[in-house]
Amino acid sequence: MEQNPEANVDIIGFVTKTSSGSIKYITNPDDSYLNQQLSWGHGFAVISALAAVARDVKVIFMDIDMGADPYGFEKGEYLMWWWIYTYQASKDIDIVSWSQSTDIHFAYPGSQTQQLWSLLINKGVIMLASAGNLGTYKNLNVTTEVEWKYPQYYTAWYAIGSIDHETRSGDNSNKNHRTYYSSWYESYTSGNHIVNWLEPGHGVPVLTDPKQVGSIFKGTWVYGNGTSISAPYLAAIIALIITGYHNGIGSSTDPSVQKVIEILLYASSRSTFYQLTGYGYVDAYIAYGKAYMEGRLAA
Amino acid sequence: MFKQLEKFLIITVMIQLLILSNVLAVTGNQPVIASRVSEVSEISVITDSGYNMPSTTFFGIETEVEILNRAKENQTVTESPDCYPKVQINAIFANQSLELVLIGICNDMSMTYSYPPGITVEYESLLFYMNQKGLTQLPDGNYTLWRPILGKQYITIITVNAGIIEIIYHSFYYNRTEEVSSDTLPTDETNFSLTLPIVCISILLFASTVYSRRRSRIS
Repeated sequence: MEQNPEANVDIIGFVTKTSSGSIKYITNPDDSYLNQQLSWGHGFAVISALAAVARDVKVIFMDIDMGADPYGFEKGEYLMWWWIYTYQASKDIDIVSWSQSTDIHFAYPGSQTQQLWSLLINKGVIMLASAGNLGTYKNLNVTTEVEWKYPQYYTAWYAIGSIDHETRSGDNSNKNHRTYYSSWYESYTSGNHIVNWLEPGHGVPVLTDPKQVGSIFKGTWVYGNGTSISAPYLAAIIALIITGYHNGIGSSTDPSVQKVIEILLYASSRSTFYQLTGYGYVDAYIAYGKAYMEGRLAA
Repeated sequence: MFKQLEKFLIITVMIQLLILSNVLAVTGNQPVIASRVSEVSEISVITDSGYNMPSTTFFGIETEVEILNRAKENQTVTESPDCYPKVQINAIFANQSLELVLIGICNDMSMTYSYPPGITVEYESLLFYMNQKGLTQLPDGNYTLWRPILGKQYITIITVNAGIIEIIYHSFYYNRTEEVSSDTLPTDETNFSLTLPIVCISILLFASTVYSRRRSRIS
């Protein structure tokens, strides 16, 4: 982050599954397991966006198996969600932000994974996912006719699309509009199978991985594109909401997920839901102020 | 005089058809970027996939992939979204009730990659499942693998017949040093760049012979 002194995060841990099937929580940046990771670049970009808004926020990476990686969890693997649930209180996990899409329905209703999601929500954890970059309804790949809609389409998750925050020529930019690649979901709000909000994701400064194989932007700041970056932007605003609530109430008591959603809706650019854009974008300053007041009222 | 001119013309046409058409086929119509699965190194049944899905069998395939850049300078390729695994698979089974589902995931961000001139090698692992429990090997059928990229995507075909696996790789024809190869059997790929001139020359020679005979009869 040295090229952007205003942005900073504190990466406190990295959780993976070893080849023997056990969970490994890594805090040493020199651990040999980390050297075998093949896809750091995406994580670098996502954390850049988070750091730009919620400075000094603490982050734990969960290692998802990307195929060629030697280690990692599968998407709906019970072990991963069990770890998050087990350590939620001691590591003060408030937000789960996921910036990937898959076509696999990996957590069936009633499965242990879905049960753990419900337990996490009851403990005040909010779960966000990027809406997907295929620019289609249910993030449909029109060539293969496959919908890449998980976990976005699960009720427990809030899906975040992309908005252009500025216009830059030659890049399909259209200020204050949904980006051309930002996917959407249902037209009704019941069941939460919708895109909920939009956040900046087109031309956002992100740091690239110095070791990314094949990348031409090694270790430099570039303008990144994708709903991957929009999800951590909203995660950062939620971190501000939680901080504001703490400051207002005068303790470390967290707001409930329902309270966080109410504050996000209060600070949204749209008062009504629209299928392609959800409730629009969230104003971070308004959200923080509202959270502080809610904390004061609850004190 | 006319006979010499006739011979000269035939030889000229033959040279052009034999050489020029092949040169054009190799250098003129080839995409700058191309991809192929150059090796299937391992096919295995996965007993502990991490997915709690009944009535399914999980398989893993380890592959080596080649990205060819025919240009003299680096080529950039933008992928949006950036999906894994990079290799795709589909299948046509002898047992038509079987279905194959590839497990993939996309980072919801566009990425720009750079490929230097020549061949760049990647390694990809595929994880997929079929809607039948207890399979011990790939079911009979034809499996097609390819590496999507903005350019030419050459397919690799795994054929399973009575449990015997054959793998057919297709060549880039890069520098014309490789030919279509097969682990067990030659392919039936037809080389149209050679077939066309041979057919043309045959027709030309036939017409020339008929014409010469008619002229000799008239004289």
